[in-house]
Amino acid sequence: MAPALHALIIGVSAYPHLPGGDGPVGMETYGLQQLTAAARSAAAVHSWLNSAAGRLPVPLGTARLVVSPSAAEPADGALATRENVRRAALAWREDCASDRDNVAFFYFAGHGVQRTRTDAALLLRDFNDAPGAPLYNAMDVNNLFDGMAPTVDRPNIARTQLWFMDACRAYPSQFDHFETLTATPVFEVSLSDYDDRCAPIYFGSLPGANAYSVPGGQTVFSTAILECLEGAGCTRRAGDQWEVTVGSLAQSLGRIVELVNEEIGGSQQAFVGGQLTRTGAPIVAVTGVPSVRVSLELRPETYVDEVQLAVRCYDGSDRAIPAPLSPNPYKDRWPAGIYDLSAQPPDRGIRREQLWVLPPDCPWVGQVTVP
Amino acid sequence: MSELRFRTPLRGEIPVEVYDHDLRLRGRVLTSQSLELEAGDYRVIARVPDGPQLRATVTVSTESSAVAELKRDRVRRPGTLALEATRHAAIARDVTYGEYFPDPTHRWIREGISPRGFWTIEGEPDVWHRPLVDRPPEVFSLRFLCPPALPQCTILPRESLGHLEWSVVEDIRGDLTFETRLKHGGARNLLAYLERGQVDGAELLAKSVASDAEQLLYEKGRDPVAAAAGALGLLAFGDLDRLHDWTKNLRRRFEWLPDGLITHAEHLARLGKHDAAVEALQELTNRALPILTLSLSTAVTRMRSYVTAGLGGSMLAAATEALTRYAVACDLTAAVTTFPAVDPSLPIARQPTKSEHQRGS
Repeated sequence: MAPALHALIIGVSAYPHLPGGDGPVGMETYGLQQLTAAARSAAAVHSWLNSAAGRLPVPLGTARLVVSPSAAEPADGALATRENVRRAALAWREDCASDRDNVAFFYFAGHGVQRTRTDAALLLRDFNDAPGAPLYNAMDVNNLFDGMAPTVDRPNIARTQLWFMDACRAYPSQFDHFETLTATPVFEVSLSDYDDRCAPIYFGSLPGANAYSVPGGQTVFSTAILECLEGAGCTRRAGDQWEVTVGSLAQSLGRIVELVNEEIGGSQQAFVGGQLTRTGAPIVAVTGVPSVRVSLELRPETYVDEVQLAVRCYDGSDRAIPAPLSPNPYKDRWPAGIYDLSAQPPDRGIRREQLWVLPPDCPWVGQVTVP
Repeated sequence: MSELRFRTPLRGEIPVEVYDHDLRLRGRVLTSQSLELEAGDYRVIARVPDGPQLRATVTVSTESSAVAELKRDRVRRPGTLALEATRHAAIARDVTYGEYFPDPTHRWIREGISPRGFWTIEGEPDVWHRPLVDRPPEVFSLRFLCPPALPQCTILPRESLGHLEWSVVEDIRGDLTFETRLKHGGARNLLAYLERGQVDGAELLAKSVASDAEQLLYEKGRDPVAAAAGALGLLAFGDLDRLHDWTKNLRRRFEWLPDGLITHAEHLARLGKHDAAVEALQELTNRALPILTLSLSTAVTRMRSYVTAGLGGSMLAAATEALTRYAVACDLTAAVTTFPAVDPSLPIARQPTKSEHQRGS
């Protein structure tokens, strides 16, 4: 069997045993509510993988989707109970273990209780279904990660593994003695051999506030991930190909998360951990020239009417820029490239310059002076 | 081919990216290094974590070398707030409070005032007591008090104080943060780049810190805290060959340094030598709290794996529980382990904000 990418994608929005759920709710609810975007986000990631199949470094082998959707979300995929997730994970691991050149891809969106920068307990659909061990229907990132290490039993497990944790707002302080709690293991514990995986963990979590998702849409983190994978996180090395690599994704993800946060008033943060053994490892090739977020701003705001900006593309065509600049900052998306920016009248402090529009974004600020 | 060198307004070396006219990344080097390039126009970018981007456009000719003078852009990013703190006269961004510690065996207090009110830093020698620990380590406990916020605490091995510096930083919301930083610029930058996900730049910095390994471990300017940061960086990038005996020597030469134990244990674990790794982590019981947040995170992750596997006995389990208590409390964005607590031996786990409580979320 040729190397392939094998994906396990989990999205848990509906928690029947939390307030607002359609099951019996326990005495303790840990400050948690239903989610509205996790399952949709998982479905979007699943859809993206299928659409990008021809651009991945290896063919797409399997893409398992396990969800617990809210009423407003699509319901494709097995239900994300602990048992279903366990079975899917075991099958996923067996697929990944067939060839060391396989690529493993894991994405989870839902409630998570964060321990360290890149370790958390991820809560599944049947969380809180009975009193007793609070994390019985949860899984540990640590257990998953350890279970995917090369061992005597699985010497050829995928050496490139991409982990995405899109966790939301469960707090350790809400659990009694959280430091001693352990989730039910998904994988049996098996200590690794020499661990030479390239296995970054991209972790999106909240520092302690606000929005997790674009209203009616996806999570901030999944929105940013997909924007990066579609070009905002790419780089161009030798040859003409633009591609997203382990390192370029890590570099861009935090910035795109910031920009999405600004748009919707969110406050997710992005962390990168795990093993970054080959930062140049390719994740996906980008078709054509990537589209880059551009922001043009004039300061001070009171002088916006004093200046008209003009932008010329490298092919000689002009980009339409509102005059006066409105809104300020003016935001658009342009193909990556070098642009010529000038201003009229020329004595307002804005010098002609080249704008190098490179991923992940190109913000520009001009300081206007009035003679 | 001609040589391109770099100049920035910042102290210390930082990573830069060099792009050609076709937007290809032609190289990534440190500002202390140079790059050989063909004649042409190039864009140089330095992405400073929690700071502005630095940029330059430079023309390289065939006749002579060129220097890219990188300048700050004017873009206001969330992380640039720290640079604005210098506008607040009451708060000195770059004052090294460490210089004012007369003696780590004596109590020390410093006070100040900001637009938010009074703040106090209290430091005192202490012993870090925990259950089942018969030789609790001697530490220096620091608390930053600025009501109504919870006190921010750090617990440091006394021997580490000479390698750290402190500042009080005000952000754009007016909130004050007590920041403990590494004195070693390269190591400090390495942790900052890693924390912000700028892994390509962090990898360069890790190698640069590693090239100073002899000096950091043995020579007059030795700095074991910086050495531990460098080791963590190389572990993150899987550069186990470059680590060689570094982690073993760091652990042996600086027995007081918990981070040295952790990096050696992690190195052993990655090589598949789990028995030795467990033995190293068991020794953490009698050490102070890991200085670096990344060390704490690495230790907790690895220890939890071993405890789950039934290794290390009750000693490792107790140590894991104790460190996890700090891991779920500490500021994940800080380089040095910092956590809220009224009593430093009782860290307060991360909790919802007041507004989240009110929304019932």
